[in-house]
Amino acid sequence: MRDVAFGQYYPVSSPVHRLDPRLKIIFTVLYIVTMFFVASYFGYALVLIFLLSVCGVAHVPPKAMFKSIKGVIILLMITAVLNLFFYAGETSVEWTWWIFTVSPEAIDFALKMMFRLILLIMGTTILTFTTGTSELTDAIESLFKPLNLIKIPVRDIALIMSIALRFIPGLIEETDKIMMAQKARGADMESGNVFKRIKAMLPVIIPVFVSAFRKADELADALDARCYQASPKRTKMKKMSFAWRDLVAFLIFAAFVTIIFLDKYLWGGLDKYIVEAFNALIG
Amino acid sequence: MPIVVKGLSFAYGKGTPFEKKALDNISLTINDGEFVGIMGHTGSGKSTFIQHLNGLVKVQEGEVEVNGIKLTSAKRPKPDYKKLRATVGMVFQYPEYQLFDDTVIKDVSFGPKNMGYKREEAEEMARRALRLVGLDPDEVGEKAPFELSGGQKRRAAIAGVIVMKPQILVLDEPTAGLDPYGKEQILNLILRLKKECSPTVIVISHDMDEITRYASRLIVFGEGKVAFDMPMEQLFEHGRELEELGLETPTAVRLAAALKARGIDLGGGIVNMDTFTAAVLKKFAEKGAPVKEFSGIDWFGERAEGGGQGAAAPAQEAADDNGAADIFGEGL
Repeated sequence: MRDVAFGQYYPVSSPVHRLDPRLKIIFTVLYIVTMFFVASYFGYALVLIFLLSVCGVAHVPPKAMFKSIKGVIILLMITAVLNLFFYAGETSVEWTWWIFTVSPEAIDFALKMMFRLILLIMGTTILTFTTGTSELTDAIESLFKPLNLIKIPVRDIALIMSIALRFIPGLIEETDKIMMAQKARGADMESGNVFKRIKAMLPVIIPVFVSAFRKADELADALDARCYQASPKRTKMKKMSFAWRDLVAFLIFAAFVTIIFLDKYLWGGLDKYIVEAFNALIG
Repeated sequence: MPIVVKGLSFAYGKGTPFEKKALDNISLTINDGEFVGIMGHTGSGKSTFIQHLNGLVKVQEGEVEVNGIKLTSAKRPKPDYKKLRATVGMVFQYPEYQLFDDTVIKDVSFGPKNMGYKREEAEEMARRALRLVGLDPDEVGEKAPFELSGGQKRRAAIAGVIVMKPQILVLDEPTAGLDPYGKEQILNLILRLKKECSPTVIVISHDMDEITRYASRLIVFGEGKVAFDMPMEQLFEHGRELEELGLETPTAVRLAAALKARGIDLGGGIVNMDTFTAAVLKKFAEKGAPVKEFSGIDWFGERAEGGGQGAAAPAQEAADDNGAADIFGEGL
């Protein structure tokens, strides 16, 4: 239960950890958008190198980043296969076997799609690896502040979010404990078919639910008892402010995005030059 | 058959920045029929240790042997977990949180059903277990666990563990969060379980005064190691070292030490209030004061004979005593 890699904070100190969390969120959003403009294998290689260097600076082992794909590997496979056989664009050559048709363009498309998804996931995990949950909610609250103008209770939403995030580790721990208690009573959760296993999880799920409600009640009481309200103007323990390192990070990130866009719109995908150069070399 | 632990080490989150050593080369033997108290501050490894006894965590290094069932880090041969879990009953902290089924009887018979007993058999076992923990199966059996009171819930949860008649009973802070009277009842229950169902009992506790009244041997954990493992009389000569481990010596020991500092030496062997009182009475007798025979403190006036000293036992106690007779008739 404890090795849920996706979305787990990696508690080390690094320049990336110290970046303004708001900036990191903006970077992540821009990164996601940029990923859809990557036009060539050169571009994907560049993105990978970029991510690995960020990992290096953040003192997060790249292994941890790669582990985040583990959870979605089946999804990746399915999309790759679907893209491979249902490619609808123009094709130069077609290889057909029974009802399956494959073309070099389809392979190219499927590969690129897979790289895109993998890099998207890896990139977004860097945000959660390097940003604590409270920082994250503070940053979101700060970024969405303008919505206050149209009467959206941003603070309340941020509070709900931070409480929800705050509960996750506790619930995981609780699940662990109750699982152990039921296993000690001879519960078998590791064998049998899917339906058996789901049924075997009931003795765990019910107590966890009960305890989640109990904890929520207790927390609500505690907030009430202190007359806590999210809405009035509150001060923060940690004020977020931009520093010189945020500027440096912004410049690096801007350079990265610029190259990706240059690759798409100016150079038209560097791959063909590389292929040409390669052909010239052997030809 | 005893529990033999050799060179047991364990770390959480191996290979991540969260890595935390919980057990460091633990070796000890627990014999049949012992009442062992395990102490240690939070994070000293005691909980991890008892989880090993039931195969709930995989052995990383070293070896655990319980009643001939061997647990090692090797994948094969696969130990017989079912048998192990029927042998070692594990009552976790706040066991009432594990109740899940819609009736108490069903919940208590969860264990035997997992062990492959038929429904009727399992429910019969559950009835016996409920009686043993002092609950009336006809009264609470068909109730939902959430309708019970706090103390009753805990008893029902304990019933759900001892229903499999484990030879070894392990309890992790069984009295946490109970009032003094509830504590007393649970401790008496444990003593009864030891007599009638599980001859070997291992209890984790933070409360020195409590554990010294029952345990015959104390094992103190500190930083993942066994810091002390000795009979109690000797242990409390190491008061200072215990303090460094975040533990206090029992009130009785401190009282005796305070008296000694003022010139009244009560002699050795004082570990709890019973032995302390006995020593004081002996002292009085030596001085010629008329002293009645003493056989231990009757904390809540529950030691049957003549109804005790005022603190009237609530009606629940009556159910307790009914249940004590002929439990697990078929002889263990």
